[in-house]
Amino acid sequence: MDAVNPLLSVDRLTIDIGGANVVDDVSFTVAPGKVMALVGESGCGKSLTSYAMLGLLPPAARRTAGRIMLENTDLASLSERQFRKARGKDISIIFQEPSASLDPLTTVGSQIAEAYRVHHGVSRAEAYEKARQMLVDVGIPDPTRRLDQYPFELSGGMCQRIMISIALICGPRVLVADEPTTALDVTIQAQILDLMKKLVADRGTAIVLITHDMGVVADIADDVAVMYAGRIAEIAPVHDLFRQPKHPYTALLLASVPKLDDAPKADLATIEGTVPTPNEFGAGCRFTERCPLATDKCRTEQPPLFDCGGGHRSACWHIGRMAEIREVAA
Amino acid sequence: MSELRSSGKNGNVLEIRDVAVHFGGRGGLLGKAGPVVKAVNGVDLDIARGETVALVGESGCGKSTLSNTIVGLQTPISGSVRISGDEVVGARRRELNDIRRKVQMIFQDPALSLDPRSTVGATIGEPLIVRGVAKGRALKERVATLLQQVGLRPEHADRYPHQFSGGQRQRVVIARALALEPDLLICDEPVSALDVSVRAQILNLLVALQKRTGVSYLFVSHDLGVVRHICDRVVVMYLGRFVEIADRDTFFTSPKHPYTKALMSAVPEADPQVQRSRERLILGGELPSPANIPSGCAFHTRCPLATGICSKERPELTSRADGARVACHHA
Repeated sequence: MDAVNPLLSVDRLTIDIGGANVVDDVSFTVAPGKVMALVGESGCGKSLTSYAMLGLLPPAARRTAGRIMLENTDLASLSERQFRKARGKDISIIFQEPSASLDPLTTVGSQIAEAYRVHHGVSRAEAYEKARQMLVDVGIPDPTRRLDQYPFELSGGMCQRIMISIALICGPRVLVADEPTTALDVTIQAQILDLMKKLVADRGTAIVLITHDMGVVADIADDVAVMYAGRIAEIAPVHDLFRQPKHPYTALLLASVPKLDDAPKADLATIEGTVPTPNEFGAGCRFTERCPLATDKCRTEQPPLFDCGGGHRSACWHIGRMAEIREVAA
Repeated sequence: MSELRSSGKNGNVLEIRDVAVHFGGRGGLLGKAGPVVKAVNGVDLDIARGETVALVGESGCGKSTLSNTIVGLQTPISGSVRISGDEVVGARRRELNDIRRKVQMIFQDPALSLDPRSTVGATIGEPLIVRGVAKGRALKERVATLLQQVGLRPEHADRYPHQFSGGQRQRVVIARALALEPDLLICDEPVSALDVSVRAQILNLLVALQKRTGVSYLFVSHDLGVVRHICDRVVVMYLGRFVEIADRDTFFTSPKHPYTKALMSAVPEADPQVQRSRERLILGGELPSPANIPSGCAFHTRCPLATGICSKERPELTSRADGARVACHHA
């Protein structure tokens, strides 16, 4: 999607759970220093996609097709042994609930240093010094004292900074951030998003950001992939996606968020019905049952991702009828 | 039905005067007195019939404690809480039960608010049975009507919570809360746990129900986009006190307290062009502990405008020309 060679490219990834393609033919690329947002509702497959990148798929899930290329390495084909070397060093992940990700019985200093010692085999003192520098980089005041504290002594925002330190201490080129600010207050969310922007700019880290919050996407993403029921519905540079959504799902999703210029208490656009469960997936477009534009073709034939130019692609048979959606939404 | 509802002398469904709620401070494990957590520290608030008031602030600011105090789940150390004219504080158990009929509460996660082993019909009908409002056929009809009011079907009464989606479960919770026709509904983050595409459905439902029944809402939320959409008035809380109160339009067009401005600036607008071009005010630091509230203005430790006076004198809420009330020496 970018002129720069992609660092990470997910190519036709398909993941199966119990005979259903819960991630179906998902492709996207991320260039160094760019933020790719995967957006969608619970059950859309965005988290499974990201776990596959780190070899963290749950036992019931199986990759049945596709590749995840980090430059010339196919991450999806690595053995667990090889993955242990790649995790933390080449690709890292941070999760939604930092307090659930940190070990409550170990000081944060040794948790940060551990990652560095495992990958670099340096002394404890050297790893601690590296950890201290890392705390400075993520904006934690009084880092020497903080290193000796336990997670319960730190606030949620502080714990998320510790998670980011652990994820970045070995300088990975790709950071997967799975709802990194959802559990935080808005004021702390703003701090963490700013920190992520700074890290991307300083280190050229590529970020795959999993979120359901269109505001966060608007703030930090360069490109956006909107996922629905395991498939990419639409993928585009962020400005194009918000200005000219070319999939009915995206258009309705954007219209359902209250805006600055809405009349108070006016009816918001809604998407009727609910996301289909994997055993309800039909042969056609998975959004059919909730789509105001749906025709018979949508029920029987799955739309490919049509290229709309400028890196904008949409999986809809009715891209030409988006004006009707704007009427429905209004 | 609304003409049957009682109300306070000014037609207010809620009148709070100088309410303070403190925790701890008594003898701890080894007989040492622990720190006193001043969760709510002297607040006044009125809500009129049919009005929606938003209560916003960061976690730990006291908004949930205040909500719990209003429904009588928490006892304040001082102050008065009147629901449609009846005093909650110091009320005896039986009186409190009668008052609670007029104020109901819904929470963030509907899955945690519903009994997984009860049909939704039984759940919605329970308050009607307990109050002796209806039984038998009448009860069944009343439950069917309530289900329809919240956009579900009468035959849903026989199903269990797990057979519903998150949005539908929140509709069930709302139906039960409305069963006794309360004057005031406290909504504690009612859409935060829901998927984006169903949030709008629930917000539309709350607005429609208010138009039909005249119920008032106290809407606890951190999502200013939702607040702007649904509320008539906004109250901002910081470490147990109100720092700004204003009508919706005044609040959003001319926020005054530096904390309010910081909150607004922190909420990302779902439009990349707007979001990336606007002036941002990112607060440093975090909410101090309510066990150790800073002197003077509690916000002075994070405030970009703070001067000497701010750490010494606590600013009172004062009225401004446009009707907003603000507690700041410099705003």
